[in-house]
Amino acid sequence: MKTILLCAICTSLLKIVPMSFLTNRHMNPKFIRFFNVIPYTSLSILIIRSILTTEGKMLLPTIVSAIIAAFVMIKKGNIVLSICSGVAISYLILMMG
Amino acid sequence: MQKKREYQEVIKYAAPIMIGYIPIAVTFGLVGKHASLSLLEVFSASFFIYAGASQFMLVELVTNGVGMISVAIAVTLLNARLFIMSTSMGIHLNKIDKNYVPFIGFLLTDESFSLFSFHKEKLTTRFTVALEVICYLTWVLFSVVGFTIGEVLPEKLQDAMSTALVILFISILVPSVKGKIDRISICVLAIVLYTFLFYLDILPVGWDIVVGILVSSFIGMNWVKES
Repeated sequence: MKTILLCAICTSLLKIVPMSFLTNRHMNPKFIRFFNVIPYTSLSILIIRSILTTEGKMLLPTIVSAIIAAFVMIKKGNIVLSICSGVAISYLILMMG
Repeated sequence: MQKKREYQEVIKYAAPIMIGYIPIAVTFGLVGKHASLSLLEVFSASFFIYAGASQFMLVELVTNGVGMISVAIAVTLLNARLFIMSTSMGIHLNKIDKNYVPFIGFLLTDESFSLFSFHKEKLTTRFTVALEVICYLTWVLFSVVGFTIGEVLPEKLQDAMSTALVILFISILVPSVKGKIDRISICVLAIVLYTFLFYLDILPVGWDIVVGILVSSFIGMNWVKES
């Protein structure tokens, strides 16, 4: 339990401190430009990391469901539909084999 | 009436995150149970830490007998990206009541950050807090559900559900880069750079994410065309 609480304190500080410090402050436009790019880079890295760390039997379902989800998003633009179809495809692939 | 419409809007935006969280939270509850954690410990991890991947890491390290300080360092490194996300989001919180900022910060996750990054117009106090609280409660509740009844689910369905988060990330990213070659180029840069760092394997887990985000953002910021 102590470990959980220590991890909670460390994680909370990481999340709270920068946000509290920067809110309502005037920023250099270059700084803003840099931080505006971060959502794209961080999401891309989280996606590729998930794929690179996927092991064995889950690799194919993960890649195929990711492609299907991207396709559904482009065609329909509906996140819920995209997630449901991705998970359903993943399940089908696992059932097949 | 307006309030009702606003909350419907919150649900509309929160639904994809909730759908993404449910299977992962259930899996966390199950993993915690299999690792002999108590229900209180599983609940506390979700309630106090609230950072998906690092909770799984915590369980794994604790199960392997790793010491408290080492676990805390590993979890902090893995969550270091949240420091960057918090910084990135902090500069856009001018419509938020200052008193709520620490609370909003505590409830920040990869998913809420991604959503707000691409919908900055939604960063008002009520909307932000409501959305984050709904997602938070979903995470905590379904961690407990996973601990108590998760084993009822077929194993293959549990495995399939574990892909939900990567699908959620893709579903958030795709519309924001659709037809924008500058943003697609930045994403490709980040993917190539991170893959290189991953296989190079010289940075501790967590730092590879931080370095990847910082370096690719630094290079990519000059590629963005003003819109």
